[in-house]
Amino acid sequence: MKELIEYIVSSLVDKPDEVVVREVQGERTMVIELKVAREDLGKVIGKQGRTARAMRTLLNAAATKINKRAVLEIIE
Amino acid sequence: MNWIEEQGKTKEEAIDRALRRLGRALREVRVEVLDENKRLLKLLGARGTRIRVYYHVETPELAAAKQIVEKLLKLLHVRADVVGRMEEETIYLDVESDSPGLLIGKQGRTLEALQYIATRVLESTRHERLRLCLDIGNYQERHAQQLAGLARKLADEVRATGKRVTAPPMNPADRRLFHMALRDDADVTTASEGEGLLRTIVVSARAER
Repeated sequence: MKELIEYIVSSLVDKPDEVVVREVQGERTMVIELKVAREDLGKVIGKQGRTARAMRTLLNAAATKINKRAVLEIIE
Repeated sequence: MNWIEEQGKTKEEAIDRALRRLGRALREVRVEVLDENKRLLKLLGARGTRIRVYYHVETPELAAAKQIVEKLLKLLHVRADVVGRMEEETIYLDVESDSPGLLIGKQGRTLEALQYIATRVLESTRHERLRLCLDIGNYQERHAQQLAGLARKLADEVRATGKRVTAPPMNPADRRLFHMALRDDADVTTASEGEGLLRTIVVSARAER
């Protein structure tokens, strides 16, 4: 889960060194916290939030496979 | 498109040899049988089959796109085989996997997300605008036919009533297919309306001339 977001985000941003992804495991839900450089925020959110939404969709597909729910939180 | 010629005792053997030479899978190439069951040397030679195998040369864009999609699928823990081709400016990738339903998702939403993310990653690694068309088990083609069917149905409705009809919300790719489906219709015209996720197409009667 974490690796998926790490790979996508690191490929999209200008400052991959500043990408931090943390996985917080809950019983049913896992939260993926994502932090990027301030100027890269737009790149991970995308036009009208399309990139963030697409990442959430992929995350949910991956989580479904292991009967969980996954939430992507982008920390500003 | 490039091709090579190969021969073998049977057609299967010839194909097998050609694929090994190219390092490709059968669904990535097109096979043409030149001579089946003919003597390979004029008088005495053993009987055999000669074939010609056509294949696409892998461009750097195609190779990069394939690599990205393979990586994403691996991270999604899906076992899959990705093949592709490049036609004009568009990269076409086809995914054969152990879980097509999961990858397509409700109303194709996961597939759309996968295609979108793969395109973004591809563009940012290659620093150019590229068009990537991702398909999973022919879903996109079936989906395009469904959309064209819906477009024709709504056009008939407009013809019958003369009133404008609004289609359900559609993403840009679907709107494009919808517009194309009715482009040559003499009676109706299409226009996009609404903002963001609710943006859709309105079909209305062409103004009287």
